[in-house]
Amino acid sequence: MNYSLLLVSLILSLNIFSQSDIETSDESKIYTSVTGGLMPALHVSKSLHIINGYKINKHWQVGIGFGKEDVSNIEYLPMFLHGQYNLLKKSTTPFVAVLAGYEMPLSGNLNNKGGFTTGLQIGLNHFFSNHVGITTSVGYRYAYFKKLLSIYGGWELPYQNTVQIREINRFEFRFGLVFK
Amino acid sequence: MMMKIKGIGILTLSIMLCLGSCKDKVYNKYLANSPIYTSFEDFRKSIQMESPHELTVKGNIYLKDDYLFITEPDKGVHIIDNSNPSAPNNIGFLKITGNTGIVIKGNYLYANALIDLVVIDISNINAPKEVARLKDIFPNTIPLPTYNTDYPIAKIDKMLGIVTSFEVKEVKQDVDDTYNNCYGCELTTNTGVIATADGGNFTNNNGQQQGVSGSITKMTLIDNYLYIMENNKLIPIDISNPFEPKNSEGVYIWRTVETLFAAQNHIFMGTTNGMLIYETSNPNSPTQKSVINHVEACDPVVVQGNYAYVTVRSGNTCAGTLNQLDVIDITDLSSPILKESFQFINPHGLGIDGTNLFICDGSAGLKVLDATNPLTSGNQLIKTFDNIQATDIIPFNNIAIVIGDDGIYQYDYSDIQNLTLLSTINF
Repeated sequence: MNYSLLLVSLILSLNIFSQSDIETSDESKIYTSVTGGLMPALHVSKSLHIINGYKINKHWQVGIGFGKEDVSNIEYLPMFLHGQYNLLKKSTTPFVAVLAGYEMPLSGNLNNKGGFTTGLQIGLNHFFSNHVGITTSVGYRYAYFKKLLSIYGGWELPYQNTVQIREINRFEFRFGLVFK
Repeated sequence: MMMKIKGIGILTLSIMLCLGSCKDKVYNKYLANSPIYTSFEDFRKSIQMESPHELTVKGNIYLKDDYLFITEPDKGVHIIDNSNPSAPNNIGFLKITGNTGIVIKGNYLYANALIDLVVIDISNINAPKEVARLKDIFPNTIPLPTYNTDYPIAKIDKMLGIVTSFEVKEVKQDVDDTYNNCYGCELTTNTGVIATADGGNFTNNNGQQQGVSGSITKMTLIDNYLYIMENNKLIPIDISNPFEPKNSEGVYIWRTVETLFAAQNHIFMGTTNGMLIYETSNPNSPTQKSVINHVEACDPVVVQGNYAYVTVRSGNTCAGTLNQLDVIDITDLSSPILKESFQFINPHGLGIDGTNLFICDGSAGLKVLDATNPLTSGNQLIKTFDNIQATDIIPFNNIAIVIGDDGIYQYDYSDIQNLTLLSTINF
């Protein structure tokens, strides 16, 4: 079901891309990026981000993103705002990007409350054409996950007020495609 | 443009530097009884004589000469001038943080003070003075001040000092992310490892030299050695020089020991599933001589002559279903023999003086038995005192000092058929 959700979202994203392509032939203001990432730690987390955004000008662009990530064997749907500053006005440009949003749990039980996430990336965009390019970045990700504990390690807890917090501070590597 | 590139470079470098410290932090947050610490320095300065306090809870009792010592668990010792048992006079409170029991030899009182053993000169009973201290000989002792049972106890860091109280507040407990951490393990430090060395000894073969205690005790004296149970470890302490006590490594006892009783240079241990006899020819390293088993239960023990009297009790924290008095022939200490068992209602502590055997039989009252013939003692009921709800007793010189649920009662039993209440000290 989670993958279906992502697939539908991806199709919708591409639809936006198609519309934008029709509306703006050369310099589309609308873009979509699809990136995959890794966040190494004790357990390496995999990440997929899809961002639909708008180019404010040659340097600044903002977008809304979502995707799928797993952190310590729990899957999340990240929903976030994404801002990016491109240093150059060329088809190849370094950039700095930030994101902030909410990680909605897709697995685990109702006690898993997800949590806040934010990150900072620096990277490089390279467009092969007016519409398609690749993007790669490295960065830092922070997330604060909250889980209510009633059972832990197979044992029912004697006290019901326990919250388990997982704070991730991870290096992040991303690679993907950008459409505009 | 170059400035921007440099900026990116600096940012990249910063992130790379961050790499070394990038790792998940996992912790539990919960409301818990958070320990409040007293520094070791303050803790060790805490022994002092204070004006008399009111007794508030049941503690162990210890009789020495004309003085009655009543422990107030974890706080100290009430000192009662009992020269007139009809009018005991509370003369002061000896504050000993973390104390649960005492023994006295000569003019020296030996008390556990949480992780330490302290030696206190009581030659001037109105001005006791600490003369020696064995530090950290009970390292596993964890205090158990009053806490809110609705919440767990947070992890105790013994390096920070002594826990003297708790406050309920949100605490953070790091969770080791490398394996499926046992949540709750860090919360259960209050269970299973609490040492309660309590009370004194019942031996009185040295006349004025040492005092007398009830039967429920984990401290006992044999000559110049003090033996203390700490969890599953019996620790011998050489007190031949009170100013310089020396502890030995101790021996592990693989049973749950509830009471110690010294007789015939042997230590009789009442455990939850039997009585152990340890010989002390090498006082620094007692060795097991024999054992006699019974089903799971609580069992204080006293010894007189060639017989050990053991009350085996069920209920509450005591498992099992037995409630009886066992009479054990210890003529051959290597091979004790259970001779007789007698049914009782819920026997707790016991004491023996001459031929009078006193059994604190819970709600059934205090029972006095004739132990002229130990093997029939359980059937030789002299009298039951229904109105005396006792848990432990010291019978000595015709005065029975009885610990009840609401106070300490002293009875004159010179007429065994008619115990006369002399005084009451209420909790």
